Amino acid sequence: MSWGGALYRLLRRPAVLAWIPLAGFASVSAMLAVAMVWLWVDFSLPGAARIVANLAFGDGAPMSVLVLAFSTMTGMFVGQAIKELQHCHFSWALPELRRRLLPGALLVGLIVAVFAREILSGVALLALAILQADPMRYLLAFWEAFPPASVGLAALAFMAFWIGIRPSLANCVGVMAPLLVSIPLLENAIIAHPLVTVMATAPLTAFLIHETFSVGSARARPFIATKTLTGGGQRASTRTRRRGAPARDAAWRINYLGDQLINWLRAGAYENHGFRPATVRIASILVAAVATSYLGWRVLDVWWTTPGASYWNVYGRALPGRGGYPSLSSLVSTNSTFIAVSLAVLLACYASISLSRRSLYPLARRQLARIEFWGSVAETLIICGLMIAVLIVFWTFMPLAEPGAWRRELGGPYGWMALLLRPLATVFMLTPIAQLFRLRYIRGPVRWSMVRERISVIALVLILTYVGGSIVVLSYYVLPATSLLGDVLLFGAVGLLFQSAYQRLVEWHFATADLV
Amino acid sequence: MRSAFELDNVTKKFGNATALDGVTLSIPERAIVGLIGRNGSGKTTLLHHVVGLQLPTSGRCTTLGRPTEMLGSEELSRIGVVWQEGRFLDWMSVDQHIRYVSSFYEGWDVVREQSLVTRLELDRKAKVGALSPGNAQKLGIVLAVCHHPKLLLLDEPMSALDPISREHVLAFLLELLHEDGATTVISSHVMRDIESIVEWIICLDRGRVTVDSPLDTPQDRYNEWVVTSEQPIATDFEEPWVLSQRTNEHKAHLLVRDAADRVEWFETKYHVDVQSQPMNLERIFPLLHQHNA
Repeated sequence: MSWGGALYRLLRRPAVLAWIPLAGFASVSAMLAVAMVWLWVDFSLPGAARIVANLAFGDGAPMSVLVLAFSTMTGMFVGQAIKELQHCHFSWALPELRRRLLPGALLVGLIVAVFAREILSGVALLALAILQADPMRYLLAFWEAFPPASVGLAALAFMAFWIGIRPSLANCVGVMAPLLVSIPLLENAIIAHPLVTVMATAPLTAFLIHETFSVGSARARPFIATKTLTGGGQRASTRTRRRGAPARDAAWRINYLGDQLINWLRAGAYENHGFRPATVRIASILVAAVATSYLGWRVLDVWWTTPGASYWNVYGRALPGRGGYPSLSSLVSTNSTFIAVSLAVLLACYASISLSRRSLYPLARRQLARIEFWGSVAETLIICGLMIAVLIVFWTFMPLAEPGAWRRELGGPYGWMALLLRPLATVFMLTPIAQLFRLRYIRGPVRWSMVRERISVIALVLILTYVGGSIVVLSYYVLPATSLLGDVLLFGAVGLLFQSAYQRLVEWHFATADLV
Repeated sequence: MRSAFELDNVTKKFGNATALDGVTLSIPERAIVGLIGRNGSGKTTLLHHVVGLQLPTSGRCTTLGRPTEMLGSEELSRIGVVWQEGRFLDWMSVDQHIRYVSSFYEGWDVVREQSLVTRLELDRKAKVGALSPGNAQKLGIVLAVCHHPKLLLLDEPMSALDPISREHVLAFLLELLHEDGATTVISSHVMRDIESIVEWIICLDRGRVTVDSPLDTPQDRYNEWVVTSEQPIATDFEEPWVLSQRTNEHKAHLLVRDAADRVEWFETKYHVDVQSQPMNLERIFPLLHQHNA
C-alpha cells in the first residue's frame, strides 16, 4: 500500500458521512447562537448588556474555540481510523503500515489546521457580517489579519488535531479545556507572536506524532480487536482495564437495597464510580481551579485592561465604536454559565450516576424511571454545588482587587446570590437535554460507535454552552435587574418547568422503549 | 397447569428487520425447555421479551402472570438470567460483583454462592473485566441462581466453558432443578449440553417458531436408517420422507422423517434390510432447519 493508498484508507469510510454533518451541525449551531446574540447586541441591547455580550462572545473567541474543537474532532476521527488500521487483526500483514500512514495523517492535519482556521472562521464571519448588515468592515478586518494571524492559530489547531488523535478522551479534555477557556486571553498574544506560538506548540505536537506512529506504541497495544467506526462494542464485557487506569476497590456495604430510592441512587453511584472520595475531591479541586482561574482572568482582564471597553478586537484589528462599562455581575454570570453548562453536559454524558443496563434489576420500569430522574436531579445538584463553590471562592478573592466596586456591583450582602441564580437556572434548564441524550443514545439500546458518540458529545457541549450563554445574556436584557426574590421565583419556576418536562420524557422512555 | 410465561403472536421489528415474527408460546411452570436456533434466529430477543427488557412491536407477552411491561419487583426478583455476552461491571472484582448483585435480593443464599464459587473455581479477587469468557460465564451463573429464582433463563450458558466446568455446571443445574423446581429455558447451540436436561424443545428460525414440542417428538420423527443388501444398492430412493442419503455399494445411510411404520414396506419394496437408529438433537437440528419441521 502506498502512502496515498493509506491516506485513501484513512478517509474513505462511511463514518466520514456521519462526521461531516455532525461537525458542521455543531459549528453552525454554536455560531448561530453567537450570531443571534450579536444581532441583539447591535440592534437592541442597551449599555451593560451589550458589553456583557461583547465580552462573553466577542474577541473572536467563539470562532477560535470552534477551530480548536473542529481540529480535535477531526483528530479523533482520523485517530480512530489509524487505530483500526494499526491494531486490527490483519495489520501485521501490511508492510510498512505505520510509515505509510504518517504522511497521510500529517497532510490531513495540515489541511485541517490551515483550512479549518480560514474557511470555518471565514464562513462564520461572513454569516455574522450579513446578519450585522455591515459586511465590508468584517471582511476587511478578516482579510487584513489573514496571513500572520493565521499561523499561530493554525499551529495551535495542528496541535489540537494530534491531541485528538492520540490520547483518550479524558486526557483530551484535560489538555483542551484550559486551552479552550484561555483562548480569548491568548488570542492577541498568538496573533501578535505567531512564530513563538509555533515554537511553543512544536514539542508537544512532535511528541504526539512520535507516540502515534512509534513502534513501541504500536507494540504496547498489539492486535486488539478495536471498536469500529461504524459499529458499537466499546462496552464489550471482554474489554480489559485500560493501562494505568486506577483500580477501584471500594466495598459495597448495603446488604439489601429493597425499593428505597436513596439506596438505588447509591447503587448507581457505586456502579459508575465506585466510592473514591479522594478522586472525587481531587477532580473537584481541579475543576474548581480551572473554572476559578478562568473566571478570574476573564474578569480581571476586563477590569484592568479595558476600562470603558472602547475597542473590539476582530482578528487582530481593533474596531472602534463600542463603549460603556461592563456590568461585572452579569459578566461573571455569563461566563459562569459557559463553565457550568459545559461541565454539566460533560458530567451528564460521562460521569452519571444512573444505573447501567448490565444487570437485571428487580425493579419495575416505573421504578427505573423514578431512579433515573432523581439520579439526574442529583447530578444537576452536584454540578450546581460545584459551581456555587467556584463562585464563592471567586467572590472571596475578588474584593481584594477592588473591594468598593465589587460591593457596589454586588448590591449588598446578598448580592452574590444573584450571580449564581441565572447560571444555575440555565444548568437546570439545559442539563436535562444532555441527560436525555445519554439515556436515549449513549446508554440506549443501539450502541453508537466511539467516534460518533464522542463527536456528538463535543457537539452537544458546544451547542448547549453557547445556547446557555445566549440565554443568560438575553435574560439581562429582558429582565435587567429584578429583586433577588423575583429572580428566585422566576428562574426557579423555569428550571422546575424544564425538570418537570424531563421527568415526563423519562417516564415515557421507560414506558415505551427497549432497555437493551 | 399455570404458565411461567406466554407469548401471544409477538412480533418484534428493529427498523426493517424482523427479529420475532408472530411468535406464540406458552411455557408451563417447572418445565425445562431447550431453545434452539441458528445465530440471529431471535433467541436472545425472545428472552429479552420474557423479562421485559424489550417490548413487542405487536402482540402480548406475559411472564409470571403479568404483562412484561408491567413486571415489578416481586416478579423480577423471582427471575434469574445468564446472558450470552456477559453483562457485567468490568471494574469490580468477582467478590465485589457478587456482593453488589446479592444486595438486589432479600433471599440471597450465601451457602449456595460459596458452594458454587468453590465448585466452579472462581477467583473472588479477579477483576471482572479481565475474566476469560468461560470464567465470565461462570460468574453469570452464580449471579443468576443464588436468589432461588422460579424462572431461570440461560442464554448460551456453557458456550465458553471447558469440558470439566461444563460437567460441573450441568450437574449443578440438575441439582438446582430438583431443589428449586424452577422453570428453566436454556438457549444453546451445543445440543449435546442441553439434550440431557431439557424435556421440551423450541426451535426458532428467522424469528418464527418451527418446533414447539416435547424433546421426544423430533427424536421420534427423525431416524437414521442403515440399509444393507447383498445386492448392490444402485437406486436413489425417491420417497419424499427420505431427507438425505449416502450410498455405497451394499450399504446406505438414510435420514428419514415420520417413517417408523414404513420399515417393512421399504424392506419389501427394495429387498433390503433396514436398521432404524435414533438420532441425537445435534443431528436433528440441521434437519429441523432444512425441512422446517
